[in-house]
Amino acid sequence: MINNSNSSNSDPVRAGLPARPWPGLLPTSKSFGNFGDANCMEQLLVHCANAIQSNDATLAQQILWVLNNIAPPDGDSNQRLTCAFLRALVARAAKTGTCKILATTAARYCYNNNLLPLSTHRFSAIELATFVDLTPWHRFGFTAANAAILDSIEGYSSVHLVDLTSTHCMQIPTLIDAVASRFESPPLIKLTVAAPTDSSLRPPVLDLSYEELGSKLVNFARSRNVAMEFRVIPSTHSDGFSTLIDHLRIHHLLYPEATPPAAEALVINCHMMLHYIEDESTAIIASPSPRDAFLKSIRSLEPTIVVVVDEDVELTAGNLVCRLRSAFNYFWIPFDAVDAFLPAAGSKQRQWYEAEVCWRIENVIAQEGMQRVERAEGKARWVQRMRNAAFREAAFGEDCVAEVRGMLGEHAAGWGLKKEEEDQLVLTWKGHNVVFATAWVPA
Amino acid sequence: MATSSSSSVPFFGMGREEVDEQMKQQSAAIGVGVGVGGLHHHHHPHLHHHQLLQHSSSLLSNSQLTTAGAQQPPPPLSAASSAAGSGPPQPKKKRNQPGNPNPDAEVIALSPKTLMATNRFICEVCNKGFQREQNLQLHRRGHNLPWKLKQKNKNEVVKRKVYLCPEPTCVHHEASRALGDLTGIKKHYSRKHGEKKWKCDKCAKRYAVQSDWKAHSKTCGTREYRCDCGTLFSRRDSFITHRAFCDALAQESARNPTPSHFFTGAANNMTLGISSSTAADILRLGGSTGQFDHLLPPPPSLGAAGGGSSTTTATSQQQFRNQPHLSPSSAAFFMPQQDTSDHHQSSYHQPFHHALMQQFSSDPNNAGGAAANQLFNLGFDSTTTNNNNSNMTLFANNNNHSGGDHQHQMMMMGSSTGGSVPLFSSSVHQQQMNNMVAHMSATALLQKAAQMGSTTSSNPNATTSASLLRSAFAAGPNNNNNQKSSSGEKQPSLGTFGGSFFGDVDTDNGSSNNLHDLMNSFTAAANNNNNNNGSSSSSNNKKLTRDFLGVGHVAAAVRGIATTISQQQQQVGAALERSSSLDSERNNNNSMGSHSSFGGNPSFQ
Repeated sequence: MINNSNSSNSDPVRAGLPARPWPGLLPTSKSFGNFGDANCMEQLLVHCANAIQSNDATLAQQILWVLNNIAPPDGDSNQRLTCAFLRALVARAAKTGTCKILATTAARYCYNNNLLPLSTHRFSAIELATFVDLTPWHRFGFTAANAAILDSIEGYSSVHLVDLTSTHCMQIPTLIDAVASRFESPPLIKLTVAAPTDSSLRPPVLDLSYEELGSKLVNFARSRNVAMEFRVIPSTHSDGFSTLIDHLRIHHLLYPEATPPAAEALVINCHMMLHYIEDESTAIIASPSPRDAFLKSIRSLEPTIVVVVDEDVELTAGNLVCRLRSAFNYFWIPFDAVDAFLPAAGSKQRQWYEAEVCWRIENVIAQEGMQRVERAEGKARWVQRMRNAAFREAAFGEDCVAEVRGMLGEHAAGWGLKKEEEDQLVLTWKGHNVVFATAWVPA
Repeated sequence: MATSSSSSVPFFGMGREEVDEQMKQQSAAIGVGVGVGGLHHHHHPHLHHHQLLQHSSSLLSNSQLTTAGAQQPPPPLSAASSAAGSGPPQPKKKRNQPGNPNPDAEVIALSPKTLMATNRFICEVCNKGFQREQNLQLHRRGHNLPWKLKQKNKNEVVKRKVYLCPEPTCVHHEASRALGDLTGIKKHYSRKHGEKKWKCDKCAKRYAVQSDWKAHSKTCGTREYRCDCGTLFSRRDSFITHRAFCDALAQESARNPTPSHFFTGAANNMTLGISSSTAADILRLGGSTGQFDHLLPPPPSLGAAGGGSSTTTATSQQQFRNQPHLSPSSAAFFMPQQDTSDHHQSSYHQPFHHALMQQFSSDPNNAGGAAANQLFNLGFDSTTTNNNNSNMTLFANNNNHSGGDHQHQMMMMGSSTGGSVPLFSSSVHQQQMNNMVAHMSATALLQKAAQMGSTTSSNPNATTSASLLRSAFAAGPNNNNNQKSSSGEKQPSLGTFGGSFFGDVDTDNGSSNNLHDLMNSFTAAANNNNNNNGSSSSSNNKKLTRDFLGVGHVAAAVRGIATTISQQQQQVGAALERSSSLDSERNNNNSMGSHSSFGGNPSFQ
């Protein structure tokens, strides 16, 4: 399908990869005039969404056909982005059940383009470690949070670290390492994690249990001369982590001497996890929403520090078109960024990476109600929620900023760091906000 | 000259191995180039001290130098030999600990200001400052001033000098931990207690000592972290994260409960590391067969997916899409691999559904057979239940069969060969075919021959569905070819195009009007493209309509399948029946002592 004659030294067939041109020979959407540009694609997607919403199967089919032709899944980043949204719309159309023909389109589309959904790939811990490090998407939050946590636990002999994360403790090794090198006699680290249940699994999915994961972490901590305890509490975002909160309360009741601000620091690290907690639009009890209720309950534990890292995008809108526009103008970033460091289209890493993004796009677009778990909120809304829950912002130190900058310097040139309102760090890609990091202490 | 200066390097060692190393590398060039100190100073400002010292060393009789050298902590070689003399031989000598001076050395405490002063010895002519008097004397020589170098008095016992760190809280503030040379203590003081004013442009690391910064700049970005498992990392954070979860750490800590030199990738760990690297390498997903065990589906979902070809609910779709992951081994039935060791990986790359669909659409001649295959497989999946999965795996692995599984394997074999005859007869898989035949007993061969005959005879059924499909294929291109080049006709022709599959476009509300314009212009662009390439550019047409036709394929296939499915299932049933009779035959063979299975134990031949 692609003229690959110039690539004499790399035979894509022999490499077992789909034919992939040299970057200069990309069959961009030029043959389709200016239909390939992102604005047009967004417009088409919006029209398609409208057609699906109004149950106009014919119209929807036609636009899908157009989109399908201008957005091959192995195209440039805009085309792949559009392709992901196209899949999501097809899935939505299939779910609505009124135009069944679209369902077959969905199936056909996936086969035709050899699209393997990521959601079934189970990562080994090592694979996941590589996965989260492809871009600073997660590492940014890890680095900022670790620096803030290190500053806050100075002087404590014991640190109770509650890690609420979608990346399965991938932040912890660097934190252990930093604790080991920073403190002459490192504090005891009690790590408590909320283990997802089967129903709450979302990519990336681990292929080992949290117990195994924990034993690896404890082993690693031991190798760095850090004493560590690991505890798993089965608790998910769907009940607002109430089981976990209960556990923490009981822990404090049982060990009052370990309650902050005494000997033990309580660190609550929320890494891209809070946006899974139900917000006002889904909750049965709208006020306070489970989101606010969760923040209030962690506030009642008098934590030493709470770190909130999440994506700076608004995906909670009830209106599909609003959500689609918002998501389209955010999720271009992972597709664009991936081109900066992973040129091989056929690599597994890239497949997993993009499939995870596709999963999220599909969740935003195709799912409704409780199934729509990707409900990120912008930084401003989280800041407001935290303030409402009687937290005040803690500043990131200069060392922290320097460390984050240093980390970003080791990644592609498009990544940047921005400070907003004094105390908030924002990861940017080509100037666009991606992920924010904030640290909070009880007001 | 070069020799003398390079041999003197260890004596002028900065008390840190890395600096020693650096100097060793540079010493040759320096030694050769040394002529006038000032010239050197100009060229290599950061080597200031070393060069001058070396310079002097090469010019002087080495009496002074040995004095200076004697002040240093013992160089590694002598330390090693003394250690060997005093205790049991150590396999690997650690670098000497800084700050264990000779107890009878003269302890010198300098104030921070004096210590960091670069110009303690000033030339009265040009005001140039020097750190050492010897260097000043050499400089004076250039001014034609009287100069004098201290000669070593052979009778005088030169007292060693050791230096204290001016920082009171520092361990090297104690006389017992004093450092052995002036440059060493200066660097120590800068590194540990000074301002880090040298910043790396590339990674934001900061250094207090310029030479450290220089050394870092050379390697920054090129530095790699190597885990014992063999994986390389360019960033420390990713290395740490990997390290925490890598099996190499578990192995290391099993051997050594508290490894102290954790980050120095010891060479003797490499052999162990390599063995674990196979599992660690994330690119090789299918590397170990064990990884697939958990991917095998719960049987009900297979069954549901089998029936899912005509259902449209989201759940069945999900399962349907999952299926390529779930039963990779079943690909072996339809795309037999020449090399079984390659099997897992390639079946993952090309899940059988995809492969099937490709044949389904791209090869009209084979479409019937492929369709039959798919039907066969689906039917089979939905009729046999629980034991299916384990048997699939066993079959794919081609080894470790247990006796109890024979029946199912036979059944699978019978059914698969029966269903996939059209594929097998194509030359690509002839080799595989031969292998299989070679592994069969005579009775099984007879049975197989009969079976092949019957399956081939049932092919007309399949061709029916093929022709159905073909007619569906044909609809698209014909329509598309009818499109004319003038843009005025685009809209209607697109309408019929869409309409032929999905009904007419006659909605005329606002949003769709807008959309029609959009579509209109799009079609214009697409058709212009066609026209540019000539009116008979069927390939272009094909490309444009490819995916659209795909929709038609599935729709048509659903219909076609529905008509032929009952016949196909009869065929499945027949095949199963045959294979079970084959199986009983097989069991007889086993009892007679020929003890293998189809998987391909060579000893069976």
